[in-house]
Amino acid sequence: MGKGNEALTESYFYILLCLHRGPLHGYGIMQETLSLSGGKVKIGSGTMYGATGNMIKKGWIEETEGSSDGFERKRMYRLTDEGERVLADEIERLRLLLKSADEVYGRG
Amino acid sequence: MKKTKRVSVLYAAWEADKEAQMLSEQSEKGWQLVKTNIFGSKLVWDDSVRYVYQIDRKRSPDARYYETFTEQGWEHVTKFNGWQYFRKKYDPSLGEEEYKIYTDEQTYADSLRKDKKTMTVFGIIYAVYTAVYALKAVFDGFANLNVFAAIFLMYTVLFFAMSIQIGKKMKGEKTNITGKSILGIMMSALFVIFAMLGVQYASYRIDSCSPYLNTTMTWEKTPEETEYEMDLVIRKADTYFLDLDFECEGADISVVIEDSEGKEYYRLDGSRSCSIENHDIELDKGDYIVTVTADEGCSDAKFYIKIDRNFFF
Repeated sequence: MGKGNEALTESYFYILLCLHRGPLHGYGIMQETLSLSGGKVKIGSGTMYGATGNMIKKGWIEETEGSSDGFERKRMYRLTDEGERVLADEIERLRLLLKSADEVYGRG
Repeated sequence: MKKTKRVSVLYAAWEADKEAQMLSEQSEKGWQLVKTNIFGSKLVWDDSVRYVYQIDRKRSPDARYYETFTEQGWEHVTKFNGWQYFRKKYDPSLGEEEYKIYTDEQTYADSLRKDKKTMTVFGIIYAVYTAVYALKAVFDGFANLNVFAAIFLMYTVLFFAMSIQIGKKMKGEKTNITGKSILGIMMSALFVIFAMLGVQYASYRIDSCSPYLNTTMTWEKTPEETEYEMDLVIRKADTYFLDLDFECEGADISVVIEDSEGKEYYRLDGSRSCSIENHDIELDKGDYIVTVTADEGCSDAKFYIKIDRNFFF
């Protein structure tokens, strides 16, 4: 297995997935994750800060200054090429897992 | 004036959730956190609101940190020693998840990783100190209680215990030592060590040197004086340490330590200036005379001599 093929935690995966659609600020990621998971996955502030900070360090995402709507300039996050690759690899890995599961369980 | 009170309960690094729980309970009763310091938390009376508190470990928070919390409705109340106190208004219609700051085990463990490492490093450093001082005690034939070895051993045990507790918390396991018991253990250990030290010090003072309790002598020589004598009664054979310090312009000073039969134990021949520290001399039980002689022509000089057992080592 190559670099970046380690399983991502739920929070890491959802953050990358939300940013795949375009830059978002932390609150946006949290809401998008809630709606994507049907209210099942909530990313708390501490987890959001830790996960985004760690992914910035790894070079998967980067900080960017959001478009200033009104007075507030919100800090936003954007996926890097490396981040796109990590996300695609993870989806590939999950697909394989699901495919195997389907073979054994059959598609319900 | 607003009604305030102080709650001083001691919490260890792995008990932040316990402390947050306590603050949330206080808030339900109408007491709201103002600030926290080493003596405890200051609360102010305001029963019009109810908050839920969370405490996060962050030594050097940046703007991004505060932003990530405030955008989810957390209000930063205060900080103490790298612990950040947040609160959110309590709303019974919101789920429990709304009041969590860590929703994932990995990021929670990350937040405490540095503390665990620090505790382990301190544990190792003190273990090395303990070993060094214990070895020294062995070589000295256990002459004295080695107070440093005892204190360092206590620190070694405490730091490793704290590292283990933080590690358990990171893995979501139950911790089994409280901050209060850590303080209790430390205080009792220090009390025992210092009590033993006190007893040892007293006996050491009684049986070592006399008549000068610390056998320190200062001689402020005038040009007319040429000789100074000090009686020294040694009550216990041991290695004694000699400190000498003087400076004399124009002539030499000599120092001799001899017993009552004239046997020399130390001699420093004519010297203009001298600064000796911890020069060791083996002295038997008995009476000694310390003689300081200044050659003629020596003007004002200040002479300092100290003979002592090294108490600590």
